Amino acid sequence: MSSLAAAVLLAAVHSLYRLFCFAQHAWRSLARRSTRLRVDTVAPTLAKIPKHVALILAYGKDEPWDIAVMTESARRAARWCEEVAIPNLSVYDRDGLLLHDLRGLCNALSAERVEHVVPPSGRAHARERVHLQHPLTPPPSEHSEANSRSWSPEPEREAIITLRRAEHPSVEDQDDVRGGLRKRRRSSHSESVATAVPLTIRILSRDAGKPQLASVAKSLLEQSRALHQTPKQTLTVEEVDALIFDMTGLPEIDLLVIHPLNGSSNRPLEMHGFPPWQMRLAELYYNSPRPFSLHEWWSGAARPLTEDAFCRALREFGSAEQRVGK
Amino acid sequence: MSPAPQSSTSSLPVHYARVVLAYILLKLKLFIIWVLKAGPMPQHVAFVMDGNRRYSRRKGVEVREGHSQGFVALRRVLEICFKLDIKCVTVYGFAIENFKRSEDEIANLMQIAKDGLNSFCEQDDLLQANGVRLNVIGHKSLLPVDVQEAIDRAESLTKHNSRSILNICFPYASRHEMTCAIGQSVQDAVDNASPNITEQDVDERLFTSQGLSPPLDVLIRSSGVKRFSDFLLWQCSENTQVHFTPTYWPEYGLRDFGPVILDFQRRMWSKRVHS
Repeated sequence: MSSLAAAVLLAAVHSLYRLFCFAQHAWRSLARRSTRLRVDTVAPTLAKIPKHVALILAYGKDEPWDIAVMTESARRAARWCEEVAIPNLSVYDRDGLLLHDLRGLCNALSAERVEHVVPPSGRAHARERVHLQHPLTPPPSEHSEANSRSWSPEPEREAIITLRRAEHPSVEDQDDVRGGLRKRRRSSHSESVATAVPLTIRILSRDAGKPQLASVAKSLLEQSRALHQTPKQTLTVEEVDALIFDMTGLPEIDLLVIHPLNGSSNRPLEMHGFPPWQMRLAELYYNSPRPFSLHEWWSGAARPLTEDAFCRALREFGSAEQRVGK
Repeated sequence: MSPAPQSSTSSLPVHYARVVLAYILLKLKLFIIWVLKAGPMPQHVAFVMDGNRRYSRRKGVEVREGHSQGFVALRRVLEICFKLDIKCVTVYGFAIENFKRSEDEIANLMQIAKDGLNSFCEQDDLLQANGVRLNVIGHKSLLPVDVQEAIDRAESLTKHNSRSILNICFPYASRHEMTCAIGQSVQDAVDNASPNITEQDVDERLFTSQGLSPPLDVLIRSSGVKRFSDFLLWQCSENTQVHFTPTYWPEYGLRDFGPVILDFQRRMWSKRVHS
């Protein structure tokens, strides 16, 4: 009898809690509706810019997904990363749906007209339009338009595809992609606001995570057997780090954006099998579903990543303090 | 006979009011726990106990006081977890990178750890009373000898307890744990002449798995920081609900933990409906 009473009370508590969460989310979405952020206004205010942004396109086993929406989210993220001069973008979905539709992604990138911030002296935000060309193979030698860029897939590593620009107009920044943060230089009229750096896009699935760590173990086993040696007694973190980077080419993540595709999902934040090794110090931003519109919420249709969410993620990263143990 | 001083007679009603209020709050807390237990419970919850120093700055007290209050909060939260019949709790007590802090702060933290471990050994204390087995996991060889001895004593005293598990990560780094698991799986494969090493082999050799902890259901970080900071990366990379709360750890309690349990229950019911 008492357990029945507790169950009834619990149901009542859940109903009230659900109502409270909906009201809270609706209030926040209404408030944000009047302040939709844009990359071109947020970027100059950032104290620091991530060198590597990862985007998790999240969906549950019981939730619908839409490859077109996923591709669109990746395309948008690539454009915004280039606007802010973020050199690395990784796009992850658990089951490798984007990996299976690489041609569709490359076509979407090919159709993109990207605005590059190329400041002439004295002007902080001059822009020129650039048309991207993305053959899956390297560009032919007669392709000589001054402003053409091509996305070339690198030789495949396991469970990860890397797309990189074949050439870029003005590479001023050759930061080590495995290094720390890149401080943003404050703009002045006589100084560049953002350097145009080549963007590397990596497409990942779950196989780029835990299975790769198991592959590290397997390669160490094979090495010890081939050399007829006993395995090293004290394997170090640095050695594993070097091995996993050799296998995947995936540097450490600075900012990790988790974007649930389902607009009516009530899931709390989860990592969906994202590679654990590389998310050690990543700043997390959860783009929790909000009822921007009743239709989106009611229909549960897949929704692409918005510029507003991307900017909020950048802002949170910019204001976060990294103490690194101290 | 001189009359009683005015201050002592006027403070008595206040004192009684506080006692009554504390009693009501305690009963309310137990009532809420009783209601929550009617639904599904996470088997394994992990806490990153962050915000002690910022709490002490906000209160205008010394950092050591913030850490002491943090330990009080730990005991409070553990009590709630064990009353909710949560089978395994893991807490991030000290990161390997925390050795970069000042010597004074490290010495203070080590003293708090030693005192806490000794208190856990007392018969009527939290762990013994709730049948909790203590595991201290991490790079323990980095710790002072007296702290290692206190750990051994506490683990030995509680090793026969079987109702719940408490993992204290001290000092710990997830990459270090994964590296040890990889190294151990290679060694075991050589010893057993196994042809292959799988993801499952590495998983079984993590510190938490070796302590028989179930899979991680919920990870909570206090103080508003939204990072894992090298904590349980392998364990929380899938099927774990992650919650970031702005509350500083010394102030964390049922008011913050209750909604986490409600979210977990909603998710469990949703999974059952769709399956």
